[in-house]
Amino acid sequence: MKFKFQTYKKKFRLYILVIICLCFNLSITTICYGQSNNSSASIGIPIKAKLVSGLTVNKERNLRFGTIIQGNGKVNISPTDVNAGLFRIVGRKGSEVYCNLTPPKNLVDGKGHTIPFNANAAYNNKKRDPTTAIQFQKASGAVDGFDLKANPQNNEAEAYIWIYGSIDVGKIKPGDYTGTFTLSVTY
Amino acid sequence: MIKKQRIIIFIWFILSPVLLLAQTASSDQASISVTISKGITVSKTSNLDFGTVTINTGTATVNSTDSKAGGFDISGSAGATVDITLPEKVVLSDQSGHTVSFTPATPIYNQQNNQSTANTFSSTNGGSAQLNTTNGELYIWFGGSFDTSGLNPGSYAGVYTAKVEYANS
Repeated sequence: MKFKFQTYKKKFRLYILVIICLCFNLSITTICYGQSNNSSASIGIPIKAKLVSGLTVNKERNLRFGTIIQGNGKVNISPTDVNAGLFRIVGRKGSEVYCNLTPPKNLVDGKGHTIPFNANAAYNNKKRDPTTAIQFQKASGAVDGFDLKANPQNNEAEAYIWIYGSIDVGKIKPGDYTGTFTLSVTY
Repeated sequence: MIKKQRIIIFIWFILSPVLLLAQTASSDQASISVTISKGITVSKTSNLDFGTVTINTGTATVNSTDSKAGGFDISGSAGATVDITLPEKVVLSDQSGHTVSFTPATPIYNQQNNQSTANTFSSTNGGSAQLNTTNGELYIWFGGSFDTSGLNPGSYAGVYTAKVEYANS
C-alpha cells in the first residue's frame, strides 16, 4: 500500500510539473503573440533624381562672307577663317551632346533674290581650336553626338562648333544677303 | 488505515471545487466571439524616379498619375478600412552633403492595380481607404516635385515612408 501511494505521489508531482510547464508555455506564447503587432505596417519607397548642369549654346560669332564683287564666282569660308561662324556649348562634363543643325538653303536680300548656300560645320569638344575640329558628316539635321570634355584652358565642360561653307556669286543682284543658321543641342 | 484516510482527504481536496460547483444549480451560457483579421503587409511596386533633371530649369515634377510615380501595394483583410499616413516632406541628398527638399504630391489609390482610374486622397498626408472587398488589396501611387534652382549636380536619393494601419485598430 505504501509503495502504491508513493507511486501515485510521484505521478501526481509529474502531472503538476507538466501542467506548470504547459501554463508557462502558454503564457510565453501569449506574450510573444501580443508583441507581434501586424495590424499596422510601414514601408520606405526610394525617390531618385539625377541632377545635371544645364546645357547652353551661345553664338560667339556670325559667319561673314564680307563684301564680294558680283560675278566673283565661288567664295569659300573655312573653319579656321576668322569670318567663320562660331557657337559655344557649355554643359555637364562627360555628358553626350546631340546637335541638330539647320542651315539656310539660301541667303536672301528680302527682295526676292537669293544666293545658294553650301553649309559645313565642325566641332571641337576639347578646346577652342578650329585646326583640330572634326567636320560633321553632314551640316543639316541631326548629327553624331559627342561628349563634353573639360577644356584645360578654363576647366569648363564645353565644346565649340564652327559653321562655314561656300556661296557661288555669279550674276547676282547686288544687295545685302543674309540667312540664319540654327544650332539646337540636347543631352 | 491512516494512509487510506489521507488518500480520501486528498481526493476530497481535489474534487471539492467541482462538488461545490455542482451544488450551484443555476447555469447560463455566454457566447464568445473573436474576429481574426489578416495582418497588413505593404510592399513596394515602384520607385519614384525623376530620371535626369537639368538644374535651374524651374520645378521638376512627377505627378501621381505619371508612369514615373512611386507606388506601393497594401494587402490585408478584404473590405477593411485602413489609415494611411504619408510624409509632408522628404529630403533627398547626394553623397557630398547636398540636399534637395522634395514636396510630395497628393497620392492616389485604387483597389485595382490601375493608376488611370485611381481616386485622389484629400491630403498629401494620405487618409483612409477601403481594401478590395475580394482580395484585400489597395494600390497607392505618389508623385511630387522639387525646385531645381541653385542645386548642385549629382545623384540624389531619399525615402518616402508610408505607414498603414487598420482604422480603429
